[in-house]
Amino acid sequence: MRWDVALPIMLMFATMIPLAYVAIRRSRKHDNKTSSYYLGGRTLGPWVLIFTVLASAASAGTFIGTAGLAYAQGYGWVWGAMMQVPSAVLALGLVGKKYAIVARKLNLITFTDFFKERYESRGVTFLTSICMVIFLVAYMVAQFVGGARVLESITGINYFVLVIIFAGVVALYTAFGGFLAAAFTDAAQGVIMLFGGVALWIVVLTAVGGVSEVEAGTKALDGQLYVLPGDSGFDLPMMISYAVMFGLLLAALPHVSVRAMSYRNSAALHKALWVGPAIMAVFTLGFGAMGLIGRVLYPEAELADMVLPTLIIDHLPGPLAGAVLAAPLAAVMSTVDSMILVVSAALVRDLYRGFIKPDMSDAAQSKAGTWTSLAIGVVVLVLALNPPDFLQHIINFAIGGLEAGLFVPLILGLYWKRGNALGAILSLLGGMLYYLLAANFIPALSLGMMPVLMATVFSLVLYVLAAFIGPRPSHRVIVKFWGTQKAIEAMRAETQPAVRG
Amino acid sequence: MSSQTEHASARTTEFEEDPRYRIAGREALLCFGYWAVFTVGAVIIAWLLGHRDPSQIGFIMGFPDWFFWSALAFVAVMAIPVPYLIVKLGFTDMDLEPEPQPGSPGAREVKR
Repeated sequence: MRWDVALPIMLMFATMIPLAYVAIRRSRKHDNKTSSYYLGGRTLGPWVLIFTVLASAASAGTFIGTAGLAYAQGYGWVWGAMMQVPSAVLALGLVGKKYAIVARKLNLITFTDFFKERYESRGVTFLTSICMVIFLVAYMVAQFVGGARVLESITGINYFVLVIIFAGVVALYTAFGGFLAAAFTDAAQGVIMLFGGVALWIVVLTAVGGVSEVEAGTKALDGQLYVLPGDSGFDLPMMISYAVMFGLLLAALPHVSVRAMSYRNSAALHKALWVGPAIMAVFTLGFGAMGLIGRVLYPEAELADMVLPTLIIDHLPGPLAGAVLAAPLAAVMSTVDSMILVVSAALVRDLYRGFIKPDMSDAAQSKAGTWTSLAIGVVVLVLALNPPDFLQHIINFAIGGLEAGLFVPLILGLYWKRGNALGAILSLLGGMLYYLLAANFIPALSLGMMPVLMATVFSLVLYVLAAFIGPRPSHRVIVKFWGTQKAIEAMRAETQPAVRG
Repeated sequence: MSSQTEHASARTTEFEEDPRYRIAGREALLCFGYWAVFTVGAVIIAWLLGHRDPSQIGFIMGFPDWFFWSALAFVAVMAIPVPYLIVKLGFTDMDLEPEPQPGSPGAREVKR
C-alpha cells in the first residue's frame, strides 16, 4: 500500500464534491430544469467550455494507451495521437454557430433532439438513441477498468474497492449535479491533466539526464521504432486514417458534440476555438511521448500499458507521483461523466418520453434524469467489477461504429437541405454495419485504411443516394432549420397549433 | 410528428432564411479547411522525412527529426498562431439568440 501516492489521488476525488455543489447551486437558478440539467442552461464561458470539450474527448487512451503502444511499436503511435490536436476546432467549429442557433430556436437539449427535429422519423430517433446507449455504456466500463487497473497496481489497493470509489464518486456528482457539475469538474480535471503532462516532462528529463541522454538512448533502440512505417505500421493510408478518426470524426461523438450547444455566446466559442489546439497538444504529447523514454529506461517490461505508471512511480517522489497519476484518472472521469449524461438524456428524453410517455413535465424529466444517471453509474460500476467477455467486442466497436454512423447524418443534416430521413437511417445503419464487417470479418473492405474511414465514405454515399431517391424533407423541416425565428413562428401558426413537445 | 405536410414539400412556399446561417456555414468551412491543411501538412512532413532507413534519421531535442518537424514544429504553428488568426480574421461575432438584437451582425437590418 502506497499511501503517499494514494493521498493526492484521494484529494482529487474529494475536490470534485465542492465543485459539484457549486454547480448544483447554480443550476437551481434556471427556469427550465431539463435544459439546465442536461446542458447547463447554455451558460458556459470559454475556459470551462474548452476544458470540458477537450477533457471529454481525451480519454484513458490518450494518457495510458498511447504511451503503451509507443513503448511497444514506436513513434508512429505518438504521431497518430497528435492528430487529435485540431479536435476542438472540429467538435465546436464544424457544427458551429448554426448548431448553437438552431438549438436555441428549437430548444434542442440532447444529441438526439437534433436528429428528431431534422429527420422527423421515429426510426432515426430510436436507432440513434439505442446505439448511443449500448456503445457508450460499454465504453465507460472500459474506461473504468483501465483506470482502476492502473491504480491497483500502483497503490496496491484492492481493485473492487477502487472501482466502487472511483465509479461511485463520478456517478454521484454527475447524477446530482448534471451538466454543470460535469463541466466544472472537467475544467478541474483538465487543469490536472495539463499540469500532469508538463510536470512529467520536467521531472523525467531531469531524472534521465536531459535530451541528449534521451537521444542516445533512443538511438540505441531498434531503428524500426523511430522510422515510418516501422513497427507501428504507420504508412500513408494509416496516417490519413488516424487523422480522420481522431480529428475529423470526433466531431460526431455525442458526448463531445452536445457541448457545441452549451456555450454562452459567440465570444466564448471564438476563444475556445483558438486556445483548444494548444491545450490538446500538451495533453497528448505530455504522456504519449513518454512511451519511448519508458523503452529506454525499461527495455523489457511485460505489460506495455504499465510502463508509464511504473516510470512515474520510480522517478517522482510519492506525492508528486500521485498528482501526476491523477491526470489519467481525471481523463477517465471527465470522459465518463459526460457520457453518463448523454446516455441518461437518450434514455429519459429520447426513448422514454419519445416512445412511452410523451406528456412528461419539465420537472419530471429533470428528476428522472437524476435517477437515471445514477442508475447508469451503478450499471457501469457493476459491469466494471467483473467485465463480461462479450463486452470487449462491443468496446472495440463502440467509438469507430458511432463515428462511422453519426458523422454524415449530423453534418450534412445541418448544412444540406436535401438530406432526408431515409438517408439518415441508411447512413446510420450502413456506416455501422460496414464498420462491423470491415473491422471484424472482411478486412479487404477497408482498402488498406482503418475500417472507420471506408465505413464513413460508405455512409456518405448512402446518404447522398437516398437524398435523391427518397422524398425531399418537408417544408416544415426546411423552415425549422433554415428560416428565421419569425418564419418558424409564422409556419407554426399556419399549420395546426401546438404540435411541438 | 409524422409527415403530414407532404404536399408542401415541393418548395412552393417562400420563407425568409436566417442570414446568420450563411456566415456560420462559411466558418464551418474554414474549420474544415484548417483540419485539412493540418492533416496534409503533418502527413507530408512526417512521411518525407520519416520514411527512410533508421541510419539516416537525425535527432532534434531527443526526438527523431521527422517527428520533431511534423508533430512538434508544424503542430506548434498550427496550434498557436494559425487558429488565432483564423478566428480573428475569419469569424464574425454574432448574437446566437433566436431573434438577434437589431444592429448585431446577422440581424435582418444588416443583411441589406
